[in-house]
Amino acid sequence: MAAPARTIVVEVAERERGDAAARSARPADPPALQAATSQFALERRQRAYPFSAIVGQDDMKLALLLASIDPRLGGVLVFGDRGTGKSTAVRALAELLPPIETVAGCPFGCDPAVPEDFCTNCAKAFEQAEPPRLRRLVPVVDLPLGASEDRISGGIDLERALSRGERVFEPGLLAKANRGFLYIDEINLLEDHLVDLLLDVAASGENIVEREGISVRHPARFVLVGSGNPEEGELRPQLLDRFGLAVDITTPADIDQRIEIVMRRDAFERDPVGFASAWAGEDDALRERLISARRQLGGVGIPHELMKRLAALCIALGTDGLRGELTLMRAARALAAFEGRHEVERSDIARLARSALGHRLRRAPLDEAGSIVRIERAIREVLEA
Amino acid sequence: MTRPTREAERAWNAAATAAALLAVDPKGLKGIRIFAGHGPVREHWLDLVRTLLPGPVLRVGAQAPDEAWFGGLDLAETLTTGRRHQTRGIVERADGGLIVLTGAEAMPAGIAAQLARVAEYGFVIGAADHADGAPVEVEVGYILFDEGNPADGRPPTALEECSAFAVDLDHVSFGDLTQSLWTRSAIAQARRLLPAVTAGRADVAALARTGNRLGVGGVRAIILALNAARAAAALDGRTSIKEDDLAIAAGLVLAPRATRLPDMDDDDDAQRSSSDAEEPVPSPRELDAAALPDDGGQEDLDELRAPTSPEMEEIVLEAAVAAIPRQLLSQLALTGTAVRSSTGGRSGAARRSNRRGRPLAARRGRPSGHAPLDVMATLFAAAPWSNFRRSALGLRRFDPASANKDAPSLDRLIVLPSDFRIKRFTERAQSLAVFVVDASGSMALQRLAEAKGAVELMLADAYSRRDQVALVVCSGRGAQLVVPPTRSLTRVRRLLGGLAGGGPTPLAGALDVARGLCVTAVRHQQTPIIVLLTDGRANVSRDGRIDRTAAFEDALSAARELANRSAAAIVIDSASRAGPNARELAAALDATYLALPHAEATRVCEAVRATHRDVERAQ
Repeated sequence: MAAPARTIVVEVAERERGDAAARSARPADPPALQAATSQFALERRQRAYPFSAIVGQDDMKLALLLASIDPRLGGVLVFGDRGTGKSTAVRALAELLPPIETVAGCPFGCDPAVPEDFCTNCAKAFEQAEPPRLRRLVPVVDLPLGASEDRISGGIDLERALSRGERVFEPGLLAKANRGFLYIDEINLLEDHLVDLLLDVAASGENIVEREGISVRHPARFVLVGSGNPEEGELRPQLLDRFGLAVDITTPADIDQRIEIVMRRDAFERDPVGFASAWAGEDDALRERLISARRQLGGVGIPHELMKRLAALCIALGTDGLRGELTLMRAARALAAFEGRHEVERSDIARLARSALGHRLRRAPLDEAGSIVRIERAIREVLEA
Repeated sequence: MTRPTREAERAWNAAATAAALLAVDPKGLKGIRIFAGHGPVREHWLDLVRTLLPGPVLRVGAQAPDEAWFGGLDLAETLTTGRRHQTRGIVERADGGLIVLTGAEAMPAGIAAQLARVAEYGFVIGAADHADGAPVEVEVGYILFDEGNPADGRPPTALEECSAFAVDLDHVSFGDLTQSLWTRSAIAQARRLLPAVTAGRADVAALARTGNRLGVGGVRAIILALNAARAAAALDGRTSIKEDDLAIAAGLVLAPRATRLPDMDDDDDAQRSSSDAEEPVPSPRELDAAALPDDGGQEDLDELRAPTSPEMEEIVLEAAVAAIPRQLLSQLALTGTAVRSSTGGRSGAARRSNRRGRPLAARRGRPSGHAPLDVMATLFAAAPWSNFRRSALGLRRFDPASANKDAPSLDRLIVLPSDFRIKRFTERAQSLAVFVVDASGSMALQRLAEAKGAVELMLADAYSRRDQVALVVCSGRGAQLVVPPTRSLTRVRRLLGGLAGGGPTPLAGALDVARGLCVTAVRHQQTPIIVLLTDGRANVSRDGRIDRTAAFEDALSAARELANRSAAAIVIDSASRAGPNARELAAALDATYLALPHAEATRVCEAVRATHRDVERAQ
């Protein structure tokens, strides 16, 4: 199983080298593209910790995988202690996910296969012609806490404005995250107005920038992944509700598991490349599963009777609005597809109810683990009755 | 007088060892926290680090803004050259070295979190205005100076957790210092050797088990300990880890993180090494007065130091226990769990304001009396547009080539209202309700339950009100700060977990703890409100004696001192028959008096809110 993955990596590298050669011949390339490619190249060099090598934390891993099977799930929130592998898992995703086809030179990474989703540039340039293609890693963009609004949504290209007097839009982090993941560590410390901005764009899939003389709208479809430590301040409930799945993670109490984590982490830090290639087989197998799950997703059905129970479950728990039901349904479908089934089963819903609904319940402030108990009771009474 | 010197010598050796290990592997160990006041000992230690570490050691005030840390746009250069020019941030300049953070407790949690990530991942994810977002690779570690003044709060947890070591130099005097055992060339040799040092599963297991038995949460601490053991082996010129290395690592990395003492039941017949024991001396740093000298506790401590079976894990564990800081040890011995006086909810408690507090990034907006103009940010915003605006107004374009000759001045800049940026600040939370609960005698459990209920209600709408709560419990001989000021329900839930009542009433001690909290709160622009739930029957005096009269006198004087802090207060008399004591206490505190034999949580909560409104109106 190891061989095909290595071929992919080599292929990507070669394509990029070819692209670099082509770029030197075409000096008019927008600088944003160069920046974007340089970042992806760097990410590959840094070699993330392999996703399959992460010990335990099954809820979190499953949530991330489901969100990558169906990006419409609406973001993943991971709350828990520091040092539980939150950031590691998100970083590992970029390497795990199958590379994507993009329009070469497009700062938004438009998909050449879906012309109706093109950004305005691509739509104009490739109305007739076939766009040049570039294969690259799924972007996983890190959003630093200190980022300004301009940096996130994009603004004027300062250098070109000053040196050449050109008014050019410089894409921000949202552009870079298009078709990928936008990751915010310590999201509970991010300023509220920025979180609002991100959630709005994530929900609409489009970023609109209106500045003096600049009016840009471009696709920004990404899966928002937030993580944080609730002891340092909690996320406002109204923001909580807008994440599709929310998982709580804790440090594994099992001593052998902890030893294993440290052993692997240590092995990785001492020889990242060797460690990654030792796990390449596992990652490949998982990648294949993801690819086939995506293909299969459209064909997964939910029996009417189960759909009714799902609705009853949400009513019993009193989750506000339909967002909970929608997310739970989509997540259950993605899970069925991931497990190679064509139909959602009761167990899928039972397994995902906590991450899809847990953060939407109204709860008494000091009600310890109350939401879990309530969900489990509701599952027993409604779903399994 | 040999004992304090020996103790000091041990502390200094630990600090010197930590400095050497950090110099060997700054990337893997990431930092150190030093408890020490300003003074020659601290400076001497820092000199030692400078001698050993080949990289830069930069000293930075914790209040530096985001751009200072991570770099930003250099406006003057950019305008002069006509090309984007970035300033290099402190983090970039400290590459390969250490950043000394003085006053880290005042650092905003957001910046602390970013700094911790830099140490964690080895690159800066781009400064506030980097456009390309290409990570700048850096290796930095941090030295956190903790002056140990409870009124200042604690360094941010993000940085505390990422730093491998914590060393206490508070009781070390200049005369205790000894010559360093290591030289720069020894460190350089160890650095070369380090990549070859291997660690086996047994080493990891020993550290992980020790961590578990000490209640060290998180895998990160184990990884840091492993790196420390490896550095220790390299420093000793070996490529394999020995027990000694693990013991050093456990003592320097795991011990300061201990949250409980290991269960030592099976070591009963182990022989005691009585000479090594020292009394737990309460240090001024301690917020809670839990560490009263106690003869029973003394014997326990002796036992903990007893040599155990020669098995490696036991040796490592023992080294760790022996290195647990004294005040932490006595706290653990008395209460079973450590109450860390960290203000974890701090970050969440900040609210935006335009007038006072700590500066935040400027935002677009109209300047007004409440929202002062941020001149620099406005110029930054206007700069890129200038040439378009000039041409729109029919003016000559700004030419960077000629700019150098006739010194560029800012009158070339055209500023429009859309460029205006206003200053914003974070302001501390509005109020801090300090619950002081007398959890003694027969009423203990009920009163505690009521206090818990009130705390719960206070926090229930903390999202809109941004209130913080703290809970001081007096029971047994000590007053404990059970819940340090926080707004986080998660934290409160955890801390209130295994709270038990009973025993005598050290009311004066509890009021002293509350006063400490008030001083901190006022410094952080909070309005403290004291809520005292008691029947007023104090029976433990400040010096720990059981003496009703003295105890009540002490309580009254503590109350007067607290009243001098002009904190608003409420005394809730929970005695089944309201007595004169609580009323007298209320008078001393200048407090509202409420007789609530069954203080329902809602009524307590209401009373606090009403007091808060009064205080606000008065201001």
